[in-house]
Amino acid sequence: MNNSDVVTALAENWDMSLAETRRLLDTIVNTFKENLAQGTSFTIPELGTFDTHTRSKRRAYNPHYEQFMMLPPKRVVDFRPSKGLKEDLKDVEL
Amino acid sequence: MSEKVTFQELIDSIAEQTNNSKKFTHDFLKDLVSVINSGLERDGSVNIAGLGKFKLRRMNEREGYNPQTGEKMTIEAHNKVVFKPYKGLRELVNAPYSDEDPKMIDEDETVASQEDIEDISEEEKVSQQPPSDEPAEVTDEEEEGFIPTGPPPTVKSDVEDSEDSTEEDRDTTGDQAPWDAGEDEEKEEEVKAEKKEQEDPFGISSSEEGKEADEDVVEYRPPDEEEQESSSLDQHLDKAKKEGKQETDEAVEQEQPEPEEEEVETEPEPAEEPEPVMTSDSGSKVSRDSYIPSFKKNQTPPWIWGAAAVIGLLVIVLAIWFFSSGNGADQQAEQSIASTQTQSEEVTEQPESQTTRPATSEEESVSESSESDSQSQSQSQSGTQTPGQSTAQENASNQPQQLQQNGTVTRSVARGQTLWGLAQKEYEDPYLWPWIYDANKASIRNPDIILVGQTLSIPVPDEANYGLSATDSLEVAVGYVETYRWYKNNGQENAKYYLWAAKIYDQNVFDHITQPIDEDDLAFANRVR
Repeated sequence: MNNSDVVTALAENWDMSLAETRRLLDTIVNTFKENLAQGTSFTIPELGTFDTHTRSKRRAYNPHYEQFMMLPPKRVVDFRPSKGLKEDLKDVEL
Repeated sequence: MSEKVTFQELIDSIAEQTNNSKKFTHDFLKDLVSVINSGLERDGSVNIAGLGKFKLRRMNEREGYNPQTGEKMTIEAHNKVVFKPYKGLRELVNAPYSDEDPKMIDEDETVASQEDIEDISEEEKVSQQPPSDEPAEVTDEEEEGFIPTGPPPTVKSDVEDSEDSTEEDRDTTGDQAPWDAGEDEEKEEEVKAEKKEQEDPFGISSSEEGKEADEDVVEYRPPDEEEQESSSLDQHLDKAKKEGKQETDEAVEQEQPEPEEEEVETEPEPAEEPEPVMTSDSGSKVSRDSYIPSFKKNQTPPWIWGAAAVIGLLVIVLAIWFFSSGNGADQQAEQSIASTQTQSEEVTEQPESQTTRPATSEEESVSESSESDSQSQSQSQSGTQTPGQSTAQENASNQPQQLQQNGTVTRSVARGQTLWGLAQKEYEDPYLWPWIYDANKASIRNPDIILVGQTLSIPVPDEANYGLSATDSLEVAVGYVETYRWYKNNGQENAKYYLWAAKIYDQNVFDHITQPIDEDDLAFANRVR
């Protein structure tokens, strides 16, 4: 299901025009992004929790140059699905 | 993990930004969640534009332990929900660390220390210290001004650490990122190598000890090889990164000068040790490839400004040329279409307002305005524009809505609604109305006339952003060709402008048209481009 399908489903449910639902969805997504960019975590009921954490720097090996390298720290996004979601989708056919 | 924001706060913020009620925003968000849920159930993956992709992954059956009883148990196969953020989000979140690149290091170097990284727990810090004392050679040098992470160094030459300890404190006040504090040893080596290159490129100055004694230990490289091979590129790179101060070096800039005493003291000792250890053949590889030049930290080379100015001038000249050559015809066509648009608005408003007061049948009002329409060459459909839209929205909610499988939305036409208005509402671009017309050719005979209550399938644009994908553009262009055809067959004068408009949306639309098009009109459409 790609983004257009999501937009159409929402537009259909709420009887909004495609452009309107798209804009609203964009606003929602931007709010999520802003929070994550600041490192703030948030939970959406029945969906899950989004937060960030920082991976420490570490040594890695570059096989092309056959040399070790030092990777800098990195801040990444985590998502932990909520219980309800997990239960619902546990046994779905893939 | 540091701060949390509540769901309610999120809703409040979104509601404020979109001028919707909080209840509506709350319900909409809940609905979004259920859409994601059903999307995962149906397809196994859901993409949310700008955010990321939710996917279902299969976990096979495996053996585990019951944490309470300790006995073995089988964890049955199940799905798990996974979220992968898109690149934009990844980069946005990683912004604080974005200016740091992976750096090549020689094998013998240890994992240097870290400062102020969230992940390091107190226990880790404590546990690191005792092990580090164990190796005998390390004891002297690891005065703990820093806390090493990871397992105690298994490789020798922890020599560098002494350097770290002296420089750690100064780091935090400088421009360098905290995590770079541990890299001082590397930078010092770079600096040293540079200086050597400048002053002593051929290793003339006697013994290695003599060289070493000069400056900081810069890096682990066989000094003879490295001096000759390190490039000026490295110099550039290192200018911003290194911390050590060169006693005599003026060419290399520094960010943090350090007291020389400490350097001198610690130098001879550690300086000698690395020498015998450094035998890496990879030294030759290190020179060129190791340092990704990052001009971010350096001054931009002066010639770039000149190049940018030249390119800018070129762009301006080209733009002027294009506008001057294409402007005349474009404006003509656009104006004619726009003016007919406004004409029809004025003409239809009057009969519309008169007929809507008394309760006339909906079809009558539509057909009345359509007659006046057909006289004026217009793109607008029956009914008025803005007043029509507002009433249309009220009425549309009473009409049933359906979702088609093939990327369309079904809408019923409300009173006063036009294809133009419909396109404006759904796409925020009324000029896309031929797309709707083409998608409903079966039910729309005259593009100027749509009937209230008529069900139309509105094609959904593919792209996540507000532009049109290539296939969508092609469809719009074909729609314009169909409109042209109808107008031509029904004696409209300006039909050829629709052909011209078709070309705007897709250059090669005429290749896709099977039925022949009038030669003159085709020439007109092609010429004006």
